[in-house]
Amino acid sequence: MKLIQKVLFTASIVAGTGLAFAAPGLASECSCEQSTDGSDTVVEVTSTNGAEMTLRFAANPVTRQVKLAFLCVNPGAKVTLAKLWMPGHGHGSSPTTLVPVTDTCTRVERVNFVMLGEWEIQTTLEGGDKGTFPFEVVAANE
Amino acid sequence: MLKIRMIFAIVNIFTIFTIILLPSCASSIEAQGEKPLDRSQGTPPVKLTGDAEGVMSKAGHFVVKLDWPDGAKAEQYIKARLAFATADRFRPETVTDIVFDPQMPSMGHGTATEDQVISAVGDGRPAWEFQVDGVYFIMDGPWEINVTAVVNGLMDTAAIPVDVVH
Repeated sequence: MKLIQKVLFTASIVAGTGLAFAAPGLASECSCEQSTDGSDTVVEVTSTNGAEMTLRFAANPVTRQVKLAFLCVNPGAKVTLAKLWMPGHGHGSSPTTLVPVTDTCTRVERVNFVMLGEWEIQTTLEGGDKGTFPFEVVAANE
Repeated sequence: MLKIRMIFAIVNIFTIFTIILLPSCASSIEAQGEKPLDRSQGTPPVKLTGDAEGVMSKAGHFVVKLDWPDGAKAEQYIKARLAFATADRFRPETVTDIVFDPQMPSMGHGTATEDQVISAVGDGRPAWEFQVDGVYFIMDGPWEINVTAVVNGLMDTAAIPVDVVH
């Protein structure tokens, strides 16, 4: 019995240590801070209920090769939808995947821009608040 | 007693005729080239029957038939079935490097293909039927599926029209 307790205790110590190292790493994988060298694209909007919302692509300009975005909300709120949409064409793209990393930052994965042009990411927060980010997707060699 | 002997005799005659006639019927079917499909053997008979079935690839290297088990619907993940045949509609020996590329010529765009998974269907060896999971049409309307594959060592593309609905 004592041996089992020792094993469990050791396992919990190892797991706790692992989490302590992993947590800062996870947090750093989600950021909406604009870099100083201009290598990313940041769009800021205010939601319908007044929340500050920021969308960042780790690329400038945004091209079809971009597959990931970061979405920050202040005050923090759960993002329930991030839908790609082309308002001028009346269509969107395949669904994105939302990965909440912190209370205020969510990774938007599986972003697929199927053509160049004016796009939006239409977002919905838990509770129904909404924000729409406009931006342009350009060819990779521009 | 005589009646019983007669009945036995009739049954015996019928049995002998059956044994003699069945193999001769089978051999006549073989003579007409209508062998039953044996998936374990190399060159099977026609799979796609009739010129109207399937779409011929652009260079004439293969025929491919496209089916939508649950319909061709927009804005949801659906699956497609592909059946390949040689240009003369025999089962091919090899089908590899399949690319399933939906395009909307009238709009100048395609759709996301990252979620597609293409896998062989059934126990047929070599594989000639495939299922494409994770097909996603971003809108309804007239689409064209460009199916590229290497069939019996020759790469070619077939353009298959499809009307996608909501």
